[in-house]
Amino acid sequence: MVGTPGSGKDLLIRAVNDLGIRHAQIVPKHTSRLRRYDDGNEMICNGDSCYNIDGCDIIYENFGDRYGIESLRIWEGLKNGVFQVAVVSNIQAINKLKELFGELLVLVYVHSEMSADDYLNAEAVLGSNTDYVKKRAASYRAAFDIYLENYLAFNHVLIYSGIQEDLFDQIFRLFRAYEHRRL
Amino acid sequence: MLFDNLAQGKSPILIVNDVRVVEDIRNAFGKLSRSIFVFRESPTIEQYQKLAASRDVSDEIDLQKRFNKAQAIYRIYIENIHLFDHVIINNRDRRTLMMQTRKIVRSLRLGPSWPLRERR
Repeated sequence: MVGTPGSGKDLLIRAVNDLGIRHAQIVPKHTSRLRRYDDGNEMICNGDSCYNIDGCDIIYENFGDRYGIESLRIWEGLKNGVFQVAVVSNIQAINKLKELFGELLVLVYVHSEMSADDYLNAEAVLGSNTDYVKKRAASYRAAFDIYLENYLAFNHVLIYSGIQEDLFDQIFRLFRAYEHRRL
Repeated sequence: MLFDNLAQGKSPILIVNDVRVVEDIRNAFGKLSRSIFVFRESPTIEQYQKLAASRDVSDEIDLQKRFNKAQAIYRIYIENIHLFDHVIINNRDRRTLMMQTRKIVRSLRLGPSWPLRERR
């Protein structure tokens, strides 16, 4: 999944954790940054007991921090017949995933009607107007630019219009559609 | 008629708001067809009231009908996301609209879109 900050990716992660356990699971990312208040099980942060970014084979940098994914963990999940959901907004990392997983990779853009200002305001309400949030807001369009520039590489677009149920509806319908897909 | 157009090397464009027709076309034409959803924003009654006011339209029934139609079309996408090959996001920027449309048109002739590229 690729999406702008505040586009609903975190909501989707929570929904997959809560509702999609039989269908799908989140691929955790190791990150060199410290844990944030809204990080869940999708992040293994610097300072966590199982943090080991150097053990990852896909490593990239975003907003000045390093992130890492273990592809072996994805293969293990797939072997068990469970969709693996990773949130990655970095071109080199996505290309590496494509190289490793080929046709098994489904690229999804999460589109939100929220603007960079809306995002900053929402974070300010939550008391999280940190440098990290400001950095993310400054490159707010980056994910949309990835989408535009690589338009045809994206398999689906999830639309988040502020109604969580609609967003969840879309991803679970996709899971269902891909359950019947033949490669 | 569609087959005739295709046989002449043309790419006919159909504007369809009925999901069953979208399915039928996909079934009939397979990979020769591309289903595209054009998205501007999710419809709200407030937007429609504003639009009606700006156009000096005061017919409440007409307004409600238009809103219901927009809502139904939006629901078609949400409930049938797997049926759509592309989404054109209309963010009111002509350049990005053209870019998306051009990429779809070019893809009718060209192939692979991998690896991803940085923005130029």
